[in-house]
Amino acid sequence: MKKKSVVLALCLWCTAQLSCTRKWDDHNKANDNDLTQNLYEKIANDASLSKFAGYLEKTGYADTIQLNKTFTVWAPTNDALQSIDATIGNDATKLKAFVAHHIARLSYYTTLVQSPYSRLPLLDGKYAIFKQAAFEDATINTSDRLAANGVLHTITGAAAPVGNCWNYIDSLKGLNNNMATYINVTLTKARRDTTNAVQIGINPQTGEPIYQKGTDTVIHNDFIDGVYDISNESKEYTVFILDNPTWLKERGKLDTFYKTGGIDTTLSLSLWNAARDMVVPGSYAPDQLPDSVQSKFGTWFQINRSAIQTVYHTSNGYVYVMGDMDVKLRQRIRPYVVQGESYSGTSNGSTSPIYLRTLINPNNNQPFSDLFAYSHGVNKWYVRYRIYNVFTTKYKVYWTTYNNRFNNTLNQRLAIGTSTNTTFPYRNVAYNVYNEEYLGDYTVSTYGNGYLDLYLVSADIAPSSSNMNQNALFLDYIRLEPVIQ
Amino acid sequence: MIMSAIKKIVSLLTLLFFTTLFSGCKKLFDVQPEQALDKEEVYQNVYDADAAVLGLYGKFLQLAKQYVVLNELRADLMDATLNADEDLKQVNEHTVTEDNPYADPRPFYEVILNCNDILKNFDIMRDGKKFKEDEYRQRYSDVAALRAWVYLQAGIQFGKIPYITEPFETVNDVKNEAKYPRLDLKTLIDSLVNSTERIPYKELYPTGASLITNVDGYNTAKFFINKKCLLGDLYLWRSAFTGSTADSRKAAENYKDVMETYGTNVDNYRVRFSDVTKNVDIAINYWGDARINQYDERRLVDVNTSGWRSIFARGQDDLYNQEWIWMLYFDKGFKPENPFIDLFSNRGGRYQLKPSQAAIDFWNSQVQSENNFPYDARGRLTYKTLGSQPVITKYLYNYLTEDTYVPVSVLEKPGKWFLYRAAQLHLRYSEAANRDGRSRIAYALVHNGIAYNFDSNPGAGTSRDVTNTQQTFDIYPYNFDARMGDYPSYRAPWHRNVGVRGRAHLTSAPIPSGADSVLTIEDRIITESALELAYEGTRWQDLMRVAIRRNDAGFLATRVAAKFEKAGNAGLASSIKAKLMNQNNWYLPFKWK
Repeated sequence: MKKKSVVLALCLWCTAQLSCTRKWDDHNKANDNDLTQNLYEKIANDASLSKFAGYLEKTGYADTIQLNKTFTVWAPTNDALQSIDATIGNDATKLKAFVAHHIARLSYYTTLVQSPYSRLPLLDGKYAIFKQAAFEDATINTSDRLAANGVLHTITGAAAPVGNCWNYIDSLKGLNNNMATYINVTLTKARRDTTNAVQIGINPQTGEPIYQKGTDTVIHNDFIDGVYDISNESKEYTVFILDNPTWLKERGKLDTFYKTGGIDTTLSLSLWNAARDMVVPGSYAPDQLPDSVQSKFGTWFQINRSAIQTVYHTSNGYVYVMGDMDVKLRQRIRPYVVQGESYSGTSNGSTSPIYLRTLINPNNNQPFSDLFAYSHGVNKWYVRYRIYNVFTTKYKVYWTTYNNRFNNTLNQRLAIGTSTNTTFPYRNVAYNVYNEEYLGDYTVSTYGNGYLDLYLVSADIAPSSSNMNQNALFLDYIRLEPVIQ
Repeated sequence: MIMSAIKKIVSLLTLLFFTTLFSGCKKLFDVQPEQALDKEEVYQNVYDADAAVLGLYGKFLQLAKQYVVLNELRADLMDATLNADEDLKQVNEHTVTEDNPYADPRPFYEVILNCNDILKNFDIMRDGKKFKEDEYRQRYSDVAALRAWVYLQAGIQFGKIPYITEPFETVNDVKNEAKYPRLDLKTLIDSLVNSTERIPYKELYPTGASLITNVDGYNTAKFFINKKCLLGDLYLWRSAFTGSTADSRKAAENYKDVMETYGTNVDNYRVRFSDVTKNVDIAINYWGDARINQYDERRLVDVNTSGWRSIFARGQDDLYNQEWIWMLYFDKGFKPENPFIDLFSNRGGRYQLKPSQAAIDFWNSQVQSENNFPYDARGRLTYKTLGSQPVITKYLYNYLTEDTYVPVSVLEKPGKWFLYRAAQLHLRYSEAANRDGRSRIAYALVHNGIAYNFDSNPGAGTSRDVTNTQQTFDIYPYNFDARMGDYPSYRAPWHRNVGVRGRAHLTSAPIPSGADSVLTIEDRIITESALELAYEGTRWQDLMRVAIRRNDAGFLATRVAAKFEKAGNAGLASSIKAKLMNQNNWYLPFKWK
């Protein structure tokens, strides 16, 4: 009995002991010395980084990287900082930007870099290229050193922040480049926008609000709004800026296609259309430039590499100054194809007589979609189409119809500009025939507000229930082919 | 003194220790539960029997996922997306391994053994006079028929399976091969024909039966298996193995009986024409006056309450009854959860399965009647392109909003298991009739209807005497009267039938002269089944049955291979074709774990 109780007591004692040890606490305890120091302490304790540590102190980023958040620091060694511009060290603003350009939020390890590189946002708002062995152009010296709040790499060169594409165009303006001036100055406009305006009173006469001067307008740039925001650090672009003679030549080619009442209006249109094609998304280094690229507006153009005068590697891509750029006119002055189903209205506003169909082209067995209009009950009822940015030039006009329903005379015509324009007479739409027909030529002589209305007009017969088969409409598409002399 | 105190403490502690040790063991306190019944107490009256039947169907519902995945993904109309897990990929590529959950026969046998158990207890109840003879016959037959259906499915998927009709305690007894030898599909079907033919009651539950009620907001009338559809299918399968025209005829008889479930009602189960002015129908139709508006693609009826799409979306109303023979529901109110949302939907689901390019090509190679649109509008109502991905929406209409296709509620996954409907019935009947020398009737039901095809002057309108035309003039089960005329007035039961293609607004090409009409029509029936019944779980079975009938594995193999060809994987296409040319590779491994 005694023995038994001793055994039991022993067991109880063991259990008690087990439950009291701090084995798990020991197991979980951080025992890596790396993790006891934060990033700043780590840098400060490394003699080879003393200069950068001093910069961190000076700019206040020393506090930032001691915070309880994670960061990655690419710290230049003292040797690397020997070679940097002396002005940086003396200019508080520049120094701040410089230091911020070496710090990123979150932890980035060289082992986890995406191939071929990662583009990471830094504290200065710019992005940097991070490769397994390099940060921007600087070689990584020691990598992936852990700290309590992030990871530290040291680099043997400094990575001074550079401007983005927009900044470089701004500086090209200073070099009297006309295209840069056009993009950077002419296209920068003030626009009334009362979203953030400060109201200071009410006009007693009209009852309208009066805003504090300057608060009711915003400055914007048409190029940034309408083409690409090339000041956006998170995206990359390749911009082609033409030198003054080339710019004059390229722009000059377009004048004839934007004839208006005033020289200035024509000029502004041709300037805009010449400039807008000259950016493509993506960062193309000189050795990666393709032979030809396509702009956002559909224009393909060739890049003459031998005409590159200057290359700027910006923080978000490349800016090239070109001594030659010959964009083919047929690339910019392209045909218009108006699909029958893409109508914008009808003569009486009713769309119920419109039927949209998908059918098989009997010539090639490919499907196409078209418009069929039936039982509208109106003499010369029409369907209206509108095309935009129509060049002033002569066009060869074609249409394609497919009347697969009515084996009788069925007349329709195309009117351009107004529904009563008689440039093109009525034509019979032959039964069960699908082909493109040449209707004649039409010249657009003035650009106006840039759009052109096309009308598909039904037969000139008094509608009745018995002739609905004769005043129907059929249209696959209308094509306007510009004639380029 | 101290010693005895220690002793006391020690013995107390020991007691406490053992008490704790045993407190987890139920047997120590084996009291009868207050809110649950023991097995012997369950079957006391007809309501207990009803509860057993409904519970069985609840269990049966767990087969829905396996049924659809095995019958569709192994065939040609359904393909795996990049999101598909390894198990589904295996099913798709015919490389199923033994541990694949889709190849697990256990869920089938759980239902089967549940049936066996219920049947035994029904017999005990009858012996104990615990319910009326009629009540017994109806319920017994229902359960026996459901068991036969599950056996047929298990046979189709696994080939050789143990056939067990007696109850036993645990599912694992299935393993005992000495006791339960495995039957091949042909033998199994023969046994199923015989046993199902012997069930005492083959009709629907009569109106007023206690099982016809409302459960969780659903009427149960079409929850239960249609025994004649089952018998038709069983005879059709047997005829495929034996080539017996007598079996084909027996199949046709059973199907014909189902067609006439509603007597002379001209709409129900008769695949009727569309309502071109009021759009009150379940056909492919165009809004408003469809005779004119059919020329506008934008006016295709594409909603949950009207037209062909509504077959899969609508509630249990008159139009529902025109089509549905057998359907079960998934609802937030009961288990199991709807498996189809996770499989098919890219909104609120994992989007693992999609329509194959081969299926899309099937739909896009059809031509609509009159307007000549070069596609089958049923394709557009079966799958939709959502976020540039083709999504099988046939199962999602009650889950996604009607026109914007976002989940109505992410947490609620209502849906249905589509088990049998009128179009399927007509296609199967046609398959049987075609093999019993009735190609013309088969053609009519699949294409453009009885009236047109048996009219001495097709398309001549109603202002005439049709007394001696628009009928098949044939014996049961091939007697169809589709007369519709005004002088004298006829509106015969079949006068609204327009055929499966007619209802889908499609053209119907005549059989080319010189072609073998039986084989041509059979090919067309199988293709039409793809267009009409895609993803409802019939495709693999249909391909297999015809391949067996023609003793031509290529019939199945080339079609399945075409799926991979059209998806741009010629290598897989040829290896899968070679594999499926061997019939033994049609079946999943039957492994009991």
